[in-house]
Amino acid sequence: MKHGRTITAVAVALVIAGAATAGFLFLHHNRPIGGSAAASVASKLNSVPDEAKAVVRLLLSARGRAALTPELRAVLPHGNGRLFPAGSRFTPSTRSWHQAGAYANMTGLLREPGRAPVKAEIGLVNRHGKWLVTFEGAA
Amino acid sequence: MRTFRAAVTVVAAALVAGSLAASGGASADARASGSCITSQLQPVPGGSTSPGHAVPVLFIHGIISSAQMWEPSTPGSIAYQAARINGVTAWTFNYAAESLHWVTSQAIGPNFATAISCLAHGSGNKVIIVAHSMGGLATQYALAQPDPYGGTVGSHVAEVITVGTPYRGSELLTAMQLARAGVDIDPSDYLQAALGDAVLSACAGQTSGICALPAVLTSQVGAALQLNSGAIAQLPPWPAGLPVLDIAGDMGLLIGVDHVFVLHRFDVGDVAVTVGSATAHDTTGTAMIKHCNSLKLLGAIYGNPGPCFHSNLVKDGDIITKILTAIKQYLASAQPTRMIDVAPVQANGQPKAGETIVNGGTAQSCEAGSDTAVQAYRCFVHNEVYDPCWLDNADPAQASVLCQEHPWDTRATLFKVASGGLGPFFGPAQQINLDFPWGVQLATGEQCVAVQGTHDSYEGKAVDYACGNNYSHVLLRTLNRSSPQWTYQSAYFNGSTGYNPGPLEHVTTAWYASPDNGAAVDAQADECTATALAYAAQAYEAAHNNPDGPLPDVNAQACDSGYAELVFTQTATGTGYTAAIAFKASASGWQEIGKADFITPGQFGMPTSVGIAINKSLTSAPQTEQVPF
Repeated sequence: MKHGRTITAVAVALVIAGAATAGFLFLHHNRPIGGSAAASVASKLNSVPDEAKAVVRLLLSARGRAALTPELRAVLPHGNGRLFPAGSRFTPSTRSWHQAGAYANMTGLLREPGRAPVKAEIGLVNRHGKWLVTFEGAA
Repeated sequence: MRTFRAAVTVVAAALVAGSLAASGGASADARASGSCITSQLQPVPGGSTSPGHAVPVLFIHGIISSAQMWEPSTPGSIAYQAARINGVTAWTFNYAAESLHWVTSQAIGPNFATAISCLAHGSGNKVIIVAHSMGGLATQYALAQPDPYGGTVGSHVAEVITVGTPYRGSELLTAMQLARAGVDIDPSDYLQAALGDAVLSACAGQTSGICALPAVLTSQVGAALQLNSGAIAQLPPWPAGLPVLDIAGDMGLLIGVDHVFVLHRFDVGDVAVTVGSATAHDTTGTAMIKHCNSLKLLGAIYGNPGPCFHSNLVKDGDIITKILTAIKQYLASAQPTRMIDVAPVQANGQPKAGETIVNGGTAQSCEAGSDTAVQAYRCFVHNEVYDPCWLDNADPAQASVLCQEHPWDTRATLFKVASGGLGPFFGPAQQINLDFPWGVQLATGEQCVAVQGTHDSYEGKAVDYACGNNYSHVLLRTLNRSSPQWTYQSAYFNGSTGYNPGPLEHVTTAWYASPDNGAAVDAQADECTATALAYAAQAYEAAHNNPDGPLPDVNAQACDSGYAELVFTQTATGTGYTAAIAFKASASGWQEIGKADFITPGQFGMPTSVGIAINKSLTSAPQTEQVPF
């Protein structure tokens, strides 16, 4: 009987270990490329990571094109670095952050000087811990 | 659960296959009574489930989908409409539970092959397949499978219509895979990577529409559907000569920084499959590309991506019409070409009942011999030509003709022919030349009429027929009558540089202008023509209740002054027995006045001098011919 309990305990331990391993492998497999623990927590709370906010500020700045992925920058029509007029601001909506692996999007209000605020969505990808913009559009 | 369901499906399919193999001598009725139905193969509700001799139309879906994509119970859907075409039974094949597996999986390609074979043998007809997306590649695999009755399954398929099939893989899937790799992207791949990044980031938190595609990435099929993948390359070749009609969507996605209009248009085809990939195996020469306006990325994701989007293609009215037309064309092509002899007059030259007759005034002249009917009149009215025309025996003066523009009309124009303007027929009766109908109807429903006067030519072939309302579609010589349903090669007149090649057209109906037997009655005056003899022979046939039977071989014929004589082999009373029939022209047509082994001058009231002339003619110019009707 004792022998039987031992076998049961070992089996349970193996199942737990296996589940833990599977869970690790699953998470590892789906880990955002270069993503951080902060990003995962942010995803749960739908709050925008600070790094993502920073790249949006960069997008609206005089060096706006630097916020884009190199691939998007290459295919878009060329121009100077600034994309948005000086003084533009983007305010993310509450709980609008959606993340799947290394990819994310958020919606918010885009304010350009002299124009009515508009709802906009910004797509991002996390590469080596750094967020980059993949698109911006009217939400 | 999925494994269990798949196993059940496989077992069911194996049982079906086994029963097929075991029922080699089973009647078609037994198979037609529903034994093809499985959990995967279902009839479209509301349609016939008794294939009988109907043509099965089988719908197969693509990845992340199910048979419900065809909306079989929704009026207006392609499956709903197909099921209600006369002569068709419509079916859906479902592999939803396995749709993230590659087409070689048992529940997909092999089971689909079993379904095709069962439907083909149950109905006795070839199957038409309508495939969406990867369903086209499942079809490609299935057609190469051995058929339980011998040969391959492909030999039991009439035509395949593919909608958004990634023959070369999916560029968007490849773009997303490339973007996900995310490191060391070659500049030559920037375009794809930018597209993949944008879609993947826009789809975070979304799973429907375009955003269903990222889920495919990690699946077996996700790898198989990469551009120019080995899995696609390893599929067996399509059966040679099998008609495959490709249908593709063509739209653009605008991606970039929208608010400042810094955007790039990505040519994404139907988003999942580019135009080039979706039309890579069209064998009909008439691949259909549905063009749509470009959409902004978010508009395509949150709004309706429009009719060109991958899964919306089969709901588009133009595409539904194209598919239904293709099905109907096949049904029509499976029938032999129907031949119809037409004329606005009856055999005795009297106008046909129901014919609408419009008075056209006076014709200056009518010459014997029409461009479109060898034995009819060609009439000249001021500067216009009317052809063909028939003598109208309702005019006691025998000086009027009825002209008809199109063989499918029941409307004729009556002309009084100026005195001396009606030329007589001379020479022997001419046979209708089956290679040159007066007009034809194509399987598409288009009607074409023989061109008159000087004919254009295209690639060395005479332009013989002009079709439709504006005659821009033409048919080229020569009519191919080697199959039960005849065909023409066609071309399109482009108005400036000549013609462009057109598709092979199937002829469902060919109209021939009936010989002008009314003109033969005119022989009563004094003319005695070969046409008259033809009419006489027809009258004989009708009198002997054998109008549709084989005509006797006319060995000799001659006529003079309203009397005629035919000598022919009387097959009705014994092979080789030769008889002679004497006829006399009258106001109501030729009448038989007697028959004998041979007719002597003066016999049956025939004037002696006329009888001598006829006998002399019979002796000096015997001939053997089939009298045409």
